[in-house]
Amino acid sequence: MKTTLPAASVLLALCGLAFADDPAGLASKAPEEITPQAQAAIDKGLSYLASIQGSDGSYSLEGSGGNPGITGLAGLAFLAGGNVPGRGKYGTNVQKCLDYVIKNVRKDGFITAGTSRMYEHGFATLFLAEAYGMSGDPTVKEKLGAAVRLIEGTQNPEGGWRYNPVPMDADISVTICQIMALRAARNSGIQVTKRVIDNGVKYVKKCQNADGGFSYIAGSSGSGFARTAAGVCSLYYAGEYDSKELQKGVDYLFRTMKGATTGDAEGHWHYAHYYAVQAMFQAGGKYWDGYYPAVRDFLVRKQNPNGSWSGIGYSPGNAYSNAMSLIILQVPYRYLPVLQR
Amino acid sequence: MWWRLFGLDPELAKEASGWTFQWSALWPVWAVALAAAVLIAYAWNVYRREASPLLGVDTAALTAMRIVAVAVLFIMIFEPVVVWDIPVEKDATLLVLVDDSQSMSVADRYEGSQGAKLARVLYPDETKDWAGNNAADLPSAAAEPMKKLSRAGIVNRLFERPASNPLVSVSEMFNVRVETFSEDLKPAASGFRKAGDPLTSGVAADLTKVKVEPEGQLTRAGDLLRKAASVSKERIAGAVLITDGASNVGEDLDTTARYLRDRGIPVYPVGVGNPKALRDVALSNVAANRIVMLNDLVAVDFDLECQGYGADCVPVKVRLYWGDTPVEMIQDGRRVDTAVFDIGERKAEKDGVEVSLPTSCRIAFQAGEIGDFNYRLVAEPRPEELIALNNASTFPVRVIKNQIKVLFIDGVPRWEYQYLKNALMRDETMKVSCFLASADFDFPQEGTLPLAILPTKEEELAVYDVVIIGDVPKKLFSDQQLELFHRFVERLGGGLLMEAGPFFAPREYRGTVMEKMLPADISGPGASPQGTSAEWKPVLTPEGDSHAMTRFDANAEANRKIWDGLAGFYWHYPIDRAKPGAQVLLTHPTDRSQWGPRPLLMTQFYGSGKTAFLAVDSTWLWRGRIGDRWFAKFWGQVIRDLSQGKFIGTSKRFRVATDRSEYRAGEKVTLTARVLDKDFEPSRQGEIRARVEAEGQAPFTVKLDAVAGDPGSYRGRLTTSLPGSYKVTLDLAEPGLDDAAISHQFIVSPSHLEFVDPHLRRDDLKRLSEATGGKYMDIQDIGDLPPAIFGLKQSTLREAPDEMWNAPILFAIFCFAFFSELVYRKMRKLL
Repeated sequence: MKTTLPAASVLLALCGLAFADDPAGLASKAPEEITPQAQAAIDKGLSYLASIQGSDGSYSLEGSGGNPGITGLAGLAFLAGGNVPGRGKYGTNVQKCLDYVIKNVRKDGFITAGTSRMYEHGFATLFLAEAYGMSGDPTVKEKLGAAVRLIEGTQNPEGGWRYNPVPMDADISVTICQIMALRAARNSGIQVTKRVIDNGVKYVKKCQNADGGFSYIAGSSGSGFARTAAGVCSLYYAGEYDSKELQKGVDYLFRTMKGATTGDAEGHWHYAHYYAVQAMFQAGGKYWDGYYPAVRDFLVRKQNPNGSWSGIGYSPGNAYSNAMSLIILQVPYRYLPVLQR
Repeated sequence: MWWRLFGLDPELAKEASGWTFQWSALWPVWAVALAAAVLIAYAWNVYRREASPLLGVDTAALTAMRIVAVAVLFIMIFEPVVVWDIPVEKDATLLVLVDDSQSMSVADRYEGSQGAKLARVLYPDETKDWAGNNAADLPSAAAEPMKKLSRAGIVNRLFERPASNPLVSVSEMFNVRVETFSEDLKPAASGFRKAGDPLTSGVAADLTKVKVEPEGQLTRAGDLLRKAASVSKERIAGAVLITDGASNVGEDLDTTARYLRDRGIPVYPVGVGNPKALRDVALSNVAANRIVMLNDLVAVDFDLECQGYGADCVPVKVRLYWGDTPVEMIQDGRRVDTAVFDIGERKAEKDGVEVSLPTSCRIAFQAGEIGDFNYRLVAEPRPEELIALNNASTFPVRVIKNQIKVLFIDGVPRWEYQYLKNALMRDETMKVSCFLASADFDFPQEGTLPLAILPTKEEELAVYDVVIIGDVPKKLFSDQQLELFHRFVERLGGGLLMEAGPFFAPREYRGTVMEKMLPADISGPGASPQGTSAEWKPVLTPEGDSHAMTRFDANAEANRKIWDGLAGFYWHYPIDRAKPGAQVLLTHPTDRSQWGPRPLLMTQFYGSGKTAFLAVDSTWLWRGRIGDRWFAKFWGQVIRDLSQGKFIGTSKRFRVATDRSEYRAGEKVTLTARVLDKDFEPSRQGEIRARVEAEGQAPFTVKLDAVAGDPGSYRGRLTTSLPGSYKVTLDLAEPGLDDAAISHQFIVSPSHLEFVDPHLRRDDLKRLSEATGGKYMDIQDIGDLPPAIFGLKQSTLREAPDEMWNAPILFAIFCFAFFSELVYRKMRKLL
């Protein structure tokens, strides 16, 4: 007797046997992802980032006081290395970031200090959502819930968000900040209205051009690397894994990624690659293989002797460029839950 | 004759290599001088005062004669002795250790002049008329049998004929002690042969009967060489090591060489085999889900490794069998009877040493019937391959009708929850209902088996096979729900795991029925939420080394390496100790209670089910750099192990299990059994027995002793010997029991360790000989062994005293001096 397979099972095999848990599909190649040089750069970078934390736990924009968005990004940089509140080499730094962000959540849920706006709110909310599960602090959940409600309440009729916490206009850059924060919050058991996500996806898709790239504002300017990275990430975090828009966006990114090694990313290198690294990690395969080593080696070369990274093009400050660089380099650790499918 | 004149034994003089002269009874110098002075004065005075006047010359002459006579007397009184140095040969033992590991079963190809020389040594009759010097031209009478001759066969053929057995002539020089070695030493022959003793009896005959059976699963060459040299009370003159040089376990030969050198024991390695890398394809590390659902596509991961092919790409054909029936496979989405993998030899440097790298491969097949099946994956041996034993591997699969259903409850969305939830949802062999206690009221709970509220009735909970309780506040459950969990495990055979957290579990469950069920003693003070800033790694216990929950690789060493490579933790719940009868699989490396290292992962049978406790909450850290590979495997194994109570057999009263489902030949198997009586109360018998049936072996019985402190649980051990499928059946005095309910199957695979690059390690053996002052030789040169070790014979000097006081010459001198005075006086007319 010979055991035979129905044709449908072949299809199942094709779909089901891949490492679905590993978006980049790199489990077997993982040791090559973070080279010894990259590891040394990460170690020095985290040490530097810890050294510039304010006594109140904050990180600042260039020339101004503590900023919850930058603090959230710095907190994410520590979390990405496996440090969680109270645990790990930088566990105390994470806790201090958390304390600072919590302190700056307004009653209406807006996370702000000084002149910070919705960009910062998105980054800070994302950090709260990621840290909440490991802090166990009910206050964090309460503030996170409020921050999520604010995001839901400030979505404009098109489905996007912009600089100010009002439902007026929208751009893809601020929108991805909010969508990513909502995804992380949902992972933590915070109820997010489905309609908000659906509308957000609609807005992002409206921003896509025929070449697969995304424009900054729906129906306005042409495609760009940074905004396409943001658009692709928006679709991934909204769960649009199989949409044709996402695939076209990924291909556009891959075609235009040369800035990873030249420092050219339309003036926003760190911002662009913060999203590009996530998009390529989610895309996996040839995309990740072709992208990550280039951006990794570029960042290793660009690190200053004291462990810091200077801004490349526009940069809102030292803490920002360091936090972004560290998040980019540490994606292969696969520690941030939001990076999971 | 001259020796006798001086009173000495000429036989001793002949044997002696030297001599010394001694006085046995010499007086002190002053006494000798005083006596001499008195004698001389007395003699002179006596002759001077003699009645008849003497001339001065006469007085002097007579005095001299008297002095000579008296001096001779003194010499005799002082007892002169010659001490002869007689050389004597010391008794010494020559160790002869012969490798009987499995790698000695390899039949090498011998080429060129060395092959020709070996043929002449092994087949003298068949080659006596052959004048060639190249093995390729050997007469077929020698060439054909030589092709089939394994390394062990070569040694046996050399030994069986006294003319070619070098040990026969060596036994005339030394007390020869022959032992085989691989996993341990086994005495083969020993003795000393007197010259002229017949070759058909005594030690000579024993030495020709030494037979090497290459069965050892591994080779502890260093350990056993040291052991053989150290346990002996005799003087070890040297050691002869007949081997292919593979030492794959224990002390490395360089360390052993230093030990032997310090003890003055030279080693004479005799290399058997071909020093060139053999061409071989090995199939190993087969991994497939042990429990799958009916009609599942079962992915089978395995490694293929090429040796000796250089950079050439080698097509390897792989087939899958169920018994003798070929099973259709899927490779890269295509249905195939034979999967072909093009693999090349891959090398990498590790710790400065070049090592071969396996190529990871995957096929899939469909589980078409319910039941237990042993599948056999075979890499078809290539024509040039000399080793076929490492080309196949068997793996068991249990096909069940339904997926394992898991209820996963956690208190907060800790990262462990977020990652484990997704891993369980992705696992197609499971259905999971997740319940996050801290989630918003209107948050839809996640999972592949939707759940709105926690079960409150037995029939609702009975849907599940395993319950995982994370850091959940106790207030989430009513007392009735906790009792429900108790019944779920005890009566329904369900599995339950609690994973500790810093806030609620297990601290809040002290004094509840949960405390009774868990395998951990949770009565201690509890944990601080604060973790450490420094990483620490859990330690795999000997039980964990082989337990189904923590065994990532069939090879124990590879398993430990995987665990060593996993990321460490920063927090743990301090459990003082596990409950009696629980198995502790992981412990903390440094934190200890008064009972020893604090346990981190422990499991036990409870009623007809099983419980486990995990004292860490960050296995998600194992995802670092490598993704879900070990994280998902660990949790899959834990859940499958816990679920067995619901799947094994039709009865919940009995369970028999082994610590793993697959073993390598020679490994120990731990058998556990859980026996409840007809009222579902634990059995009170002190011991039970189990019958073991295996292919090609007579059935035998194993005793399982009651586990102290865990009524109804029994444990026993057996050692596997031959590869094959084994079935263990509890021998219970209760008629009409379903055989499936009281039996368990496991597989024993051949050990492959011996076939990892099994070429002759000539360089290693040469280094051993050079470090110890011995000499290396190839097996075809073994005739050079006797002259090479002749110099090891050692002798000592025996002192043989030979008295001279009674020497004839002394007596003659005395007589001459005494009687010459009379003659002198007569001649001089002085009488």
